[in-house]
Amino acid sequence: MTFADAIRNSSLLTQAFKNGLQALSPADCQHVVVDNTRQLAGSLNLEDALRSSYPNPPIWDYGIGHRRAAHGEHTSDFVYWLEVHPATDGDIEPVLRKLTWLKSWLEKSAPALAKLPRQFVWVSSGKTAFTQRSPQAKRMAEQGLLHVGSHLRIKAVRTG
Amino acid sequence: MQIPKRVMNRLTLSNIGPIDQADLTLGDLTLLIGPQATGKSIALQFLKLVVDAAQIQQELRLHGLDWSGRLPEFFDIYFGEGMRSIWREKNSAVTWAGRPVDVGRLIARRRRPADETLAFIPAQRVLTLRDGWPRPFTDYSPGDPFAVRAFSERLRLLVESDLGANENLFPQKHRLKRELREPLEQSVFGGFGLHVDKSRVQKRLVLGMPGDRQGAAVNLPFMVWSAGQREFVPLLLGLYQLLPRTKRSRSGAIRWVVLEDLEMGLHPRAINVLLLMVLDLLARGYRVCLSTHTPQVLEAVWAMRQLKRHGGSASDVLELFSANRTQPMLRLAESALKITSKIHYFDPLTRCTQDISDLDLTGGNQATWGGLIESSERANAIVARVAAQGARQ
Repeated sequence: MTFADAIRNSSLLTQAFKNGLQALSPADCQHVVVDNTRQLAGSLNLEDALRSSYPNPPIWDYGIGHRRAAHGEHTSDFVYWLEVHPATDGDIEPVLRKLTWLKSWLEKSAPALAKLPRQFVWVSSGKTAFTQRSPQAKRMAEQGLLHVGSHLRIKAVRTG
Repeated sequence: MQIPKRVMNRLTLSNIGPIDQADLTLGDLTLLIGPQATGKSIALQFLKLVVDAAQIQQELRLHGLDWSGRLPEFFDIYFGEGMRSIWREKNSAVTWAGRPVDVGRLIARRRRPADETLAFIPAQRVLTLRDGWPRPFTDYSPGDPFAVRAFSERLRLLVESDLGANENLFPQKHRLKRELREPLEQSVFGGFGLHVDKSRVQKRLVLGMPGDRQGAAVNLPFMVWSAGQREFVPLLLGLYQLLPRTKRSRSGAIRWVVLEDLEMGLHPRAINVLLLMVLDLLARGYRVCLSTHTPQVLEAVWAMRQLKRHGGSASDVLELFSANRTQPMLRLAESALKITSKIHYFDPLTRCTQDISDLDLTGGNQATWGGLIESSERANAIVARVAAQGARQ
């Protein structure tokens, strides 16, 4: 399934799909480096799309689709679930709470999106105050969350 | 002519051994990191050479070594056999404090005797003890590096002086701060003490425990010490020389301390105490240059930089090292917050050094701290990738 189809299959997100990285704010866009923009499969501003339906819970920032199939193939798009957030020690718990909410919401309310292969990614909006060696970084990894510093680089994938 | 402050402690090396270009501005504390055989030790030995040329000459001559004023022969004596090849006559160059150093002239000219200003604790320190006693300078082959031979001789003189007359070398009251002695007893010596065993014709260092009503005293000779203990004892004795028990804060004319591969063979808790000893050296006004392969040292420096930046206190520094908040330790931590630190990465790909002092974790060699936390980054990435997929199952 494509990222775009999975979004349109989710009742709260029908209008949320954007081409390229257009769903990202200009400031947050600076934190994403794409090797091959032709492989982008669109983006989604989850916070904007869901805020009116869920005024209180901590909502994850974005989804970015990445096409990994050659033309005519039926490989699903890959999703980078991206959170742009300060990265001090005190931010770890809030980001992990957002992640828990996101995983649960995907399972219950957006099963098509939940089925796509994915990576949960945290990008620092400023300086980073913990190291890859820290237990905190290990705890995040255990929950499937990868802290990548100040930039997410979406590497080009060979497609045949 | 007065030397501008920005170049006062700057050493550059060009086209020497594995180094194409090294540009090393030295702080109060300087860390050199990078894979093996990238030139860290060569750089540190050049630092010793430029600040202590007269003392080196004096010591070599004292032991009958003669290089006839020729650079290749000198390099084979000073850096060790075969090391003449690191110097390329046409394009090798050194500068110190912003000025070119004529290395040929430096070693050719007979100089007036001078006091040592840089104490060098070499990576091969474990080789300085044979059967538990420091080897004299002349016990080595002429092709062994000067740094090892000179350090070994220093230890020999130390244990044969009044320090060795006292049978208990560690723990010793007024030698090292109590707050450093006690954790060392636990983390390195496991409750044993370091003694001079004079019960035989040949004196030797042993790890001992006094006997009690149940049993006789135990004396463990050098060969049964753990690898970490064998590494640590020469280092401890080297540090004894630099941390005098008198009111003087420093030893003689020494202003610089080079400590190669600080962590060799030690458990992280012992490294932690060793880092506190480094802070003690810094508090006494020494400038310290370390080479290291452990992220723990960089992590400590990174944390201290962050504490300094965010207005952290001496108590925070002590908490970082799990040290007690006593008055002497608070004073030590207070001064630790004032030090400047520099970190240089020896990049094997470019054969140049990079100043990565910011350790800002944003990208490239900075982010993986010159490769020291590369494996952590990779482990986190793989676990996060698998966990993200597995979360649905």
